[in-house]
Amino acid sequence: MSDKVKRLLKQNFSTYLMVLPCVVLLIVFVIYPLCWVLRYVFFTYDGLRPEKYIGFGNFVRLFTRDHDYWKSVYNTFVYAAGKLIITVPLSFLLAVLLNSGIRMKNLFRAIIFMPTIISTAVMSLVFYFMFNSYNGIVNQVLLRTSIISSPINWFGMDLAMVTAIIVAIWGAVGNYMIYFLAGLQTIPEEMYEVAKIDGANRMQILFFIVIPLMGPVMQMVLMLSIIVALKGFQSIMVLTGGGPAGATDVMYLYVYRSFFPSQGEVLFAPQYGYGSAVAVVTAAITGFITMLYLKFSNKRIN
Amino acid sequence: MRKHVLIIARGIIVCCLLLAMFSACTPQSSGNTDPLHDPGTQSAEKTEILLWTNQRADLVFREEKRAAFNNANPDLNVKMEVFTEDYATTLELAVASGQAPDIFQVLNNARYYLDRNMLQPLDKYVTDDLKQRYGNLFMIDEVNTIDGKLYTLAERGITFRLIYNKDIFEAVGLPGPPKTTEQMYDYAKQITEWGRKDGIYGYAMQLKSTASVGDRVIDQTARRNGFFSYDFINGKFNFSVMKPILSVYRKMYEEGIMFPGIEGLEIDPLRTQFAAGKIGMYINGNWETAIYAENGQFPTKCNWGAVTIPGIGTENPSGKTNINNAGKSWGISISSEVPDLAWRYIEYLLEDDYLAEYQEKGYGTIVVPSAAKIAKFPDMIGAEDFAMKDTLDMIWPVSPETAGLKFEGKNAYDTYAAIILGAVDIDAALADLTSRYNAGLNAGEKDGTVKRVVIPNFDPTK
Repeated sequence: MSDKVKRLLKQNFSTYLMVLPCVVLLIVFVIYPLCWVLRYVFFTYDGLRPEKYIGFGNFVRLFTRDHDYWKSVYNTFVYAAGKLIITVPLSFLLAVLLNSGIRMKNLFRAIIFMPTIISTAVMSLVFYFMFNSYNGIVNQVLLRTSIISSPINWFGMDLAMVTAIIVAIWGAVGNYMIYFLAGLQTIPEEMYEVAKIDGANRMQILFFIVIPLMGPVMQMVLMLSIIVALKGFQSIMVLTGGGPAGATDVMYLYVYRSFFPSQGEVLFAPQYGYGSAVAVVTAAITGFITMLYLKFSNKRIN
Repeated sequence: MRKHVLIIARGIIVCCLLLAMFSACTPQSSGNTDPLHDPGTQSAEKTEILLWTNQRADLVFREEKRAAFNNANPDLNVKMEVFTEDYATTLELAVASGQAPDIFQVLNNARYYLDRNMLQPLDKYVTDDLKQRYGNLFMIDEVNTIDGKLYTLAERGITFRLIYNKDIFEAVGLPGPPKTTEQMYDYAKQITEWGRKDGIYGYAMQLKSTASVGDRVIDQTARRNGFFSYDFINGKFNFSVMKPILSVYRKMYEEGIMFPGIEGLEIDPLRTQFAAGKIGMYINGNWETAIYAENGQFPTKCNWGAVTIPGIGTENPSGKTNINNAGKSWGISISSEVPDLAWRYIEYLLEDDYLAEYQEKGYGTIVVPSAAKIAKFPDMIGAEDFAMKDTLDMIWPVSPETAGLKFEGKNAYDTYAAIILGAVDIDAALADLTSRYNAGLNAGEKDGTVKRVVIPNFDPTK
């Protein structure tokens, strides 16, 4: 071992030791499964019989014959767009309001943040019963207040995606609000004072001082929210299972079903090789969108 | 000195973190814990036997009997865990990770478990008495027997009927339960027109779970009418035969006759609404007898009954529904270290008295001939209606889609749901299904992974 390496090790030994558990976890739970997936994209494999090499056969099937997957990609973009268009501005607005001097702001912050710490599956199950078109509480309230005259079929073909988006917004707003709050608190008070002295009103301060200074935080929050939205499927799995008739089927739920296709007592043969190919293409789509966003947002900030 | 102390302290912290991390990887029990035996008080000489089941409907009965067995067998401690959601996936993962139970409920045909190396053969436990008790149901090829080796035994069977609310039928003035699918549509329409203002609808289905509807409603209606999506005589798939059944339900959905929100309806919420008197008819299995009983999961005050599944264009269909789960019950896991002790509990579960009591308390219909002879029908609504009859029920042969068939695209049940909801053209969707499943069958046969089942003289009407 060279002297330089020995010196580095000696100087940073405790640091490397502290990082070691994370590296082990990364290798075991990320790197190894990734290598496994990248290998099996070129095989058909059902977990029982030996795998069979088929070259790019899985990709040919995915790009030329699997229309259901591309529908799930479209559904994912609809779901992500619907979620982000409302979640990000709403959480920013809440952060601005709760950063001001209103009373009980800590209590409001805690209440709005609570959905983040509730299990997604439990939360989705509660919403499943609430949005039940027959006797769910949402329809009951809307009917009693005469906002609607007949029950809305929240899990029908037309509205199932809207319902999934509503549940996603409810679960995400608190999380991004906290990020924005942290960012708002880095803006020096002097900036507000100087703006007030110059005669700026609250809206002008918001648009010309706060939002520009929040640029880097917004970039990070949007990037995280895009990735989370594109990967989200847990609440959809509980709410609709990807139905009805694939109306809420999203990319990662499609990947999940390729590996675990069985439905209750009815068993279907898993297709791990094809599922791996779907997973790789899905990750590539997610990565491409994220990189596109970063390139675009870096230009805007600069 | 201080530097050395710091290095040692950091090293200890890292070791603790590593220990904590790897201790999380040790197997932990999941599912329901045993409420009757506190693990902390378990004595050292008891051997633990772990059993997994998928059924929650008979849990109360099984727990009572399990406690009785444990008390009578001081050398054993049988524990039971219930997994109703994702049972198959959970079991597969458990076997793959070496955490399988000793005994598990066998839901699929034996080939499925053999391919995954999950079951031990039971041949060494077979006695002449057992063979005599079971008669023709002892060994059923491809169901519980593969290449002459026995992997599980018959226990109970699930029969399927059309369940209907007699009070609603009487109130609407209908002559009786429907005998044809055309009558089923007509009666459902009349019920919905009469009861919509009170939230009462003619027909419901648990379409959120597409496989449940596909398997229990669509497939069973086809079998009752003497056909199936797999042509056993010619050994190929033909989904176009399902059109008449799917058309009826599609029409009901399009015309708003169906219970609202079937897209998001699971079977338990459906049962709740039926018990509340809001649904006229639906098709399901004999679990409903215990479900709607006074001490059942959804006790109901309404008067209900069950009749044979309607015919298509005929009041006397000559086919027979499949007796689900017949020929299968419990199996010993390949990884069980105490198979002989596990067999002792399986023997107990399959005793004539146990099975007779199971049926008499309304939990299901027993198919074991020796037990069926002594078992009475419970005095519960639906018990006799669901009783197995030679003219109505049979054990259908295994078809390839239940034996590891791999195909591209949506499965048949998801496609049926899309058809019923009007999302796809019915003829195009069924033609596409036929093409994809046959392509999968041809490829599987070529690979040697799937057997093409051909029974030239197959006649489900006999």
